[in-house]
Amino acid sequence: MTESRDQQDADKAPELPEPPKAPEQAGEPETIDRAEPLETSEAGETPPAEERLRRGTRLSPAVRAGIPALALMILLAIASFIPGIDLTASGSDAAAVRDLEAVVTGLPGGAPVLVDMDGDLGTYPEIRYATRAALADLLRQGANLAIVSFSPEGRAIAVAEIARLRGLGAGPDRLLDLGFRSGGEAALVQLAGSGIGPNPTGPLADALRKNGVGSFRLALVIGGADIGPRSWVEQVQPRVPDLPIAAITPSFLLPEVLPYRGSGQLIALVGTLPADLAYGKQVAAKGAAFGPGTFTDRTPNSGAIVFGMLVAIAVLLASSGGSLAGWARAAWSGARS
Amino acid sequence: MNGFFETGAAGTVATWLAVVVTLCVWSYLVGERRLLRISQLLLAGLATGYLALIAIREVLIPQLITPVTSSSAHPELVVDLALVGLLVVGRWLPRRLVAVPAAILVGGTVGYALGGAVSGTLLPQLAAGMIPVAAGPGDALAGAIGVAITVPVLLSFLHGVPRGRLLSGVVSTGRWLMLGGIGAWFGFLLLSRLALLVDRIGFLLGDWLGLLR
Repeated sequence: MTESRDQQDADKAPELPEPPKAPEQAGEPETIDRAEPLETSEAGETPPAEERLRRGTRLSPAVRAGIPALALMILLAIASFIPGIDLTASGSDAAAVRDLEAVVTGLPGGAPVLVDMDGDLGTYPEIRYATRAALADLLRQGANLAIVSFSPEGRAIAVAEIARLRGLGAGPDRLLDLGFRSGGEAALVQLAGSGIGPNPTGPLADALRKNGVGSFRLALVIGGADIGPRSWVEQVQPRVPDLPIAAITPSFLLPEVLPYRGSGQLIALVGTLPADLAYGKQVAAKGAAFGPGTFTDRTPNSGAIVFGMLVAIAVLLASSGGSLAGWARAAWSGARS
Repeated sequence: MNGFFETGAAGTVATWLAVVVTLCVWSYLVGERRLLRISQLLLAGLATGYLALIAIREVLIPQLITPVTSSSAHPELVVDLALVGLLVVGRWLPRRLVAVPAAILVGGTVGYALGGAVSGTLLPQLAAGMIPVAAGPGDALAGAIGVAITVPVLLSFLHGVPRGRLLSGVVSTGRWLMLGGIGAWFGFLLLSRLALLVDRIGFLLGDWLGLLR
């Protein structure tokens, strides 16, 4: 029987990227055999270990090519122990921290706050510290939280964070799980139009169901690539203009969302690592001893991040500095001639 | 602590599992592809299972099946169910029939996105970009810089239009400005990924080995 092409494709193992190559291999054509490291030898072939010894090296090319990355990770691990390196928030970062703190402290006790948890698994570690600080600050302030997600990744994060807050003592009267809403921006429109819907139960849900989304005093958007502050500003704000929106986003979203802060469509925006750190430290300094307002998370390691950025800049200069200099020389001589 | 794992035996098992999978992925750096392949398959399987579970438990059952089967069933949901069914078995149906739900899906998505972009971004940002009459010199300078950047970048998207020397210069400047913007965005992205790597190293050193507080 002849298999269809789809079936043949489905039977294949997923393609993997080629392992890193040694510099001397970069110009050579690729073969499958060359891509397989630590291979086993067959009868009649020279064993790989002997082959490597014959070539005068004890490490395979793939291992040698991975040494810089391993060295970077070891150096980052060492840098994690270096004390005294801190990312200080100044200027716009400090202003962003003040904005968010003012928004939270301006909430009355028992104010319902809608939290959209839609971070990505790939960028959430960057904003996890500030997010947890904001949740702790809101609960310490006496706000009641309703958490919703519009992306599957965000829902996974939300489930974990809700379990963590429940473990710290946030009961159903303080913390409501609105679940996952499918449909992306259409689901945002539905939330703005018809509120939390009939499925959530409990006293907090009953209170929120009466007045719809308008009963929330604040929407805190934990942004990601799929759903973030832009979606909220575009879909919810025109329909519920009285709902103030604050946001915590990873750095890479800043170019997209900063104009919304400038125009006042977002009332607070924390989106840089220094601002995240500064805000978290301020919340930690408020020192709720126990309960859901407790905030004792480990701070992101500034020393390792600063060191990593320096390495990245050095690699960038080393790899493209020569060509940039050549381009500048050519441009200069072209301009003179 | 990353706070995701509970204390006790379950938390210990979860931490060790996370450590093993992390090290399996990193083993690719020393040329070990089999452990990475296992990790990839594990991730693909878990992600598929998770998506199926979330679709069934949090979307299909509460938002479609239960309302349709309840006594107060909404007739429009039956139409929705029929459209979903059409999409599911669309591979074996005539293309014109499947085009109906696909067109509704695409049209609805585009309608929401376009409407939101105009009413939520374009008009408010245009309004915010206008310099008020009573603006100070700082606002005026910021507005002038904004115009000086925006106009060349917009013009740089001109293709195939006959250009004079001045326009060519502006277009070239716009492209360089756009490259500068992309470079800045790349820097932000690098920082995000670096934070992810440092967080993972912190997890190994702190949550697993207990060396970091």
